[in-house]
Amino acid sequence: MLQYLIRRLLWAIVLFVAVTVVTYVIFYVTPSDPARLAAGQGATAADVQRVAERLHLDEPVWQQYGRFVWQLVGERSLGTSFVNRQDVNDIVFRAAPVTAALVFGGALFWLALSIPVGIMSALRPRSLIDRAGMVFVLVGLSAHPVWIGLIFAYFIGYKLQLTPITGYADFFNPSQEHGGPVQWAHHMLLPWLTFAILFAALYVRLIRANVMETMNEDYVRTARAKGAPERQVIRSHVLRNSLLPVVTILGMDIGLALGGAIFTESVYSLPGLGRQVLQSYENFDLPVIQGIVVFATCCIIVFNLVVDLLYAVIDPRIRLT
Amino acid sequence: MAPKHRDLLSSGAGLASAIAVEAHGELGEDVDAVKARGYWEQVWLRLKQDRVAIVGGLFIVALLVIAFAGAPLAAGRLGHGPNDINSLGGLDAQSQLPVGPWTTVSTEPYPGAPGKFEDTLYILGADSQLGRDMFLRLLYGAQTSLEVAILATLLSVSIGLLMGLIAGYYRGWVDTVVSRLTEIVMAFPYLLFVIAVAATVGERLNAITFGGLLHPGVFTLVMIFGIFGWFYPARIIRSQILSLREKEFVEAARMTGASDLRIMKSHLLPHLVAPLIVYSTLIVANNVIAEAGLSFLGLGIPAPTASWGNLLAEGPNYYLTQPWLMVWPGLAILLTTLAFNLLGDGLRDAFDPRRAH
Amino acid sequence: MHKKLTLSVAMAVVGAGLLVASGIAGTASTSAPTKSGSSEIKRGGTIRINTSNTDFEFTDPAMNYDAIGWQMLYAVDSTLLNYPDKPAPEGSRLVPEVAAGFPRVSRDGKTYTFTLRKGLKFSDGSPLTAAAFKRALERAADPKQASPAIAFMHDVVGADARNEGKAGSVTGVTAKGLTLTIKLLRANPTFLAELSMPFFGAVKPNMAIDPKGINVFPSAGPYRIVSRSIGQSLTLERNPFYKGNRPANADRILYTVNTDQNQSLLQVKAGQADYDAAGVPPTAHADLAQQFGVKKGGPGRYYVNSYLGTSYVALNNSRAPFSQLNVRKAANYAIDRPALVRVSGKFYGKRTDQILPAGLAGFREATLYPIKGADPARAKQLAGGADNTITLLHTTSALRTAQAQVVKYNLEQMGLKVQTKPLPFAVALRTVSTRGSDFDAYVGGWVADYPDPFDFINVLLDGDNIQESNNSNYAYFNSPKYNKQMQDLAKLSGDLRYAGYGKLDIDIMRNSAPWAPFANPNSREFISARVTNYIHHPVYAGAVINALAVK
Repeated sequence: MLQYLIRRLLWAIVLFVAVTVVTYVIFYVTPSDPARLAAGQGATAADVQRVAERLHLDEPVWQQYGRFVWQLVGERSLGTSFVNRQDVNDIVFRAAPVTAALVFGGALFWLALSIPVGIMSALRPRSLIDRAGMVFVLVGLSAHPVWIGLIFAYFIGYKLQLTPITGYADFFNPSQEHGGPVQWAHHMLLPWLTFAILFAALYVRLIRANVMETMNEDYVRTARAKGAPERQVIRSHVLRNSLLPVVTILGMDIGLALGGAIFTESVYSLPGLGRQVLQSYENFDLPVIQGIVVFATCCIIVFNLVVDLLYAVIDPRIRLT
Repeated sequence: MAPKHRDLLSSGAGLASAIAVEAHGELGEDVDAVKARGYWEQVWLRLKQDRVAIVGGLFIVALLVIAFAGAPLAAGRLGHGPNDINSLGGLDAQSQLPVGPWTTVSTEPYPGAPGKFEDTLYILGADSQLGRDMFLRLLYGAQTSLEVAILATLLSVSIGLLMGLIAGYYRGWVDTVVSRLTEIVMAFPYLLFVIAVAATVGERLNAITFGGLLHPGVFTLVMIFGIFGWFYPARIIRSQILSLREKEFVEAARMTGASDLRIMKSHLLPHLVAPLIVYSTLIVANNVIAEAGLSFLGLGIPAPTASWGNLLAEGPNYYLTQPWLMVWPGLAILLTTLAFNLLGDGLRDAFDPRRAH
Repeated sequence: MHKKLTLSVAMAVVGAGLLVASGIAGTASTSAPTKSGSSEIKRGGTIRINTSNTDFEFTDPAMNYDAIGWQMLYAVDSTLLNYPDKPAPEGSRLVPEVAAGFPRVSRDGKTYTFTLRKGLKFSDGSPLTAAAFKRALERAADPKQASPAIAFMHDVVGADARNEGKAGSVTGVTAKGLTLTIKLLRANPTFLAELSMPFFGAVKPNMAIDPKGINVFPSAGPYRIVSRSIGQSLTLERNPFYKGNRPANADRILYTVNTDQNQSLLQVKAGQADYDAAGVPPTAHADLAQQFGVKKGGPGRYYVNSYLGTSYVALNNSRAPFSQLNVRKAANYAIDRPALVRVSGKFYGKRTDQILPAGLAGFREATLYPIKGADPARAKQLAGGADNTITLLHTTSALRTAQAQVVKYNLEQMGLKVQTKPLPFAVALRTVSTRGSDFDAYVGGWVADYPDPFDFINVLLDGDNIQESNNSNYAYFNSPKYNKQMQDLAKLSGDLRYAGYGKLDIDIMRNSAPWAPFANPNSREFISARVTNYIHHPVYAGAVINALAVK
């Protein structure tokens, strides 16, 4: 177990270095001029030069990268934005909860939707619910998330006025008129739904297949032959075993969803990590982009690790080596 | 070893992995049990029974015909092209917003311009403030989107096949290298890569059209989707090879002194055809969505070339005034992906009779 | 120019404009702005402003350098001289604010002495003395603060030395009670205009140096910042110690940043918000105009005001094919000006084929190129078979991307092959301002805040100013004959100057055509039914937020 953990951690470090180096090189070869941008339009060449020195932009790229890693490890700092000089840590930790709310809230939605539908359609194949579930799956898989977002915003937000069409309300900041938990949930409702549909479709399919497969397992047949009540067979044999893989996939998909959130965030103007990356791209604000990449990569690595461990805990047959 | 499913999927395969989990075992197990003789006939017979899949397939064929043959015909018949700007006729005179569906518009460049100008029909109205023909852009957009989706699928499946074959067949350090490479590529935030490519070599890549065969920008997206899409087919191929290479017929071939290359070509590849076809259809569907996503963020096909993503990107600008503008490209994407998904499901059932209800 | 940079750019380079000349001569009226509150304007209430898709980069006056920030700081800051809260033309003429009158200027033009009004206070109740302005200048020059304002201080004695860390303070600035003396290295006719930028508003003499910028600070203008939550909101309240005559109608002004433009429009329509400082979606204008009518000021909801700016296609004169006069002229025949204007919806602006915007002193209307629509046949004939492949550069903003597509379409009609090259703002800026970059045409615009043609003709087209990088002459136009004419005109004043510039504008466009100009854009703004007293400020190109009042 310990050995496994150490190996995973070492690999995580390799992954981290690979991703950050590539990001650094990519931005280094792009002909932008952060120093001039930071110095402002009226700046003279000498002003720009001074800013470049202050931001260490005059150093070779490997030195800049070394400085970045040193800051990150030594001071746990992702650096400072070229554009508004805010700590990248602050920027990331302001945006991350929005994305996290979207992803985890969305995950709750898709689980709440897909587990009952998936199980029901597996238990009653070709029933009405099964067929309806399959149609939902196909449409959910085929419609573009951006489009679903626009359609929801148009009909539910604009035409029916049941929710705000776009925008975000802060959970903790009721000083603004738009704030507090109720407003927050109200604003997040459509993004959650939009975000959940694609995954819900996949999960209905996955759960349905798993349940059906488990039903054919020998131990289920044995349990039935023993005369155990159907209800109990389903609950303690079928569901328990067929939902196990869902846990794995869920962990992985949440990691992946961090990247996919960019679409939902831009359709609904949510101030999350994805939208922040797009905004920083306009200004070529490398420290912010790099910071978000590092953060997201770490999240994905951690999620995968947690999922592995969790899996070992739930399923006693598995031993991590 | 890590848990079974972990091993199969490894980290982060995400969406795609969900499909894989379900498909695995059903595709791989029985392929070699089916007799080589009459195999394709049987598949075809079973597929024919699946009306939904046939409809999907017919839709795809019709779409290809409409996109690549119908679009130029329609442009010729209407007398203007998909990129022709007509902001006088294409915009409503009073509101200066795009005209609605089925509007006859004038092609006069400005009021009182010398010369004669025919009126023309905008079947789905105008696309944006530039007053271009939405209907033609939708048709030409189909060309672009399908080019990207299909070519990127070919590329990623080819790379995936090669990588999966090598990793699964040789195992050992080759396998390790391929798996690690996969993990790095999967952990890498590919949107960033797209951004960087767009800002550096994008312009040069976009200009590669193979003498006008492809639309500008298609090549870039094909490369990107290819580079970031191969690991998923590679994993599936690898796991199939891992089980196939232990089978007797491979053993037998090896004993007769067949070279590795020959074993791969004659004994392993034929067994991979079925899963490759099925996954390819599903990947095409995914790529259609991915193209639209990138173009929506302004990182995909460069203007003025029409693609469904570019057309969808106009949606947010108009949804308070011209909501139908977001309907057409959205529906086109929905129907196309749906068709590919249905066909893929049908093919899977056809290849694997046990699975059919 | 992107809106966020427009102000600063023009400020940096203004010629010897009216206001400065009059300031030095001391002949301008020294009357303070009169109270704009007529009897119907009530004080009190809260005004809610959205800034869609953007946040203030800073609120610290030494750091802020964007249009929405300056519009906000105009309500918060208090400068020695300031622009009255009035529409053009009065709104663009400097008058003394904290200073009791225009400064005394030494004969050689190098020493400025200001005397401050008595009894003025900061929003925390402490007295406002000359030290406040010394501190503002010190902060701007402090190397640790690293303020962009240093770009406007190079003429102040000791500022560069301070910025390079060679001196402990800016030696050229001395404050003694209510008297502030500033020494310059050389006479600078633009100095008063520069000193009136929000950068140099009064700050407490002990305001700290902080490179991240200080968000909440005591100020001396009609309003004060009470809180800022980065990425979310900013709250202003009326400054209880403000004694000046500038309006401060609402009790509170509440900014919500990073809103969505469509949602924001619906909020303003419904009265949940009162104004979007970042504008209205381009598609909404026709509907707003129809519903609420189009006003310039006074009672109403929807306002359209022209400002002094020109949108144009800069043709790269330094390389083929636009090094050839006939091809540049052909481009002027080829571009479809009405189509370019329609790209951003109704009332985007007025079509033009000239460099100077209509309404600028000296502007003379002339018929040079087809303004009703393109003339591709004539363009093709003029181009004489030029079929080069050209690179058309533009930023990735929706507006410029759409305009670039029109230009591409038009230039292809005249026989060229066009590759568009959309770049993010920062990258486009670098490319277009560096000499020898790979581009043939650039779709952009220029906005001035000063009513002086120098700011267009000399700044954008004087070939003698072309350097390695940091150029504003995106056309890389360099004609010795015209360079000399521009430089001579810059020294003149009065009618001679303006008549000369008006003629030169037409001359350059008719005979040299370095650009293909196409529009003079408008500022189009929409307010809620809850508020009144909209004043369009000509310098800050938007509503005067401290004048807005709840009905």
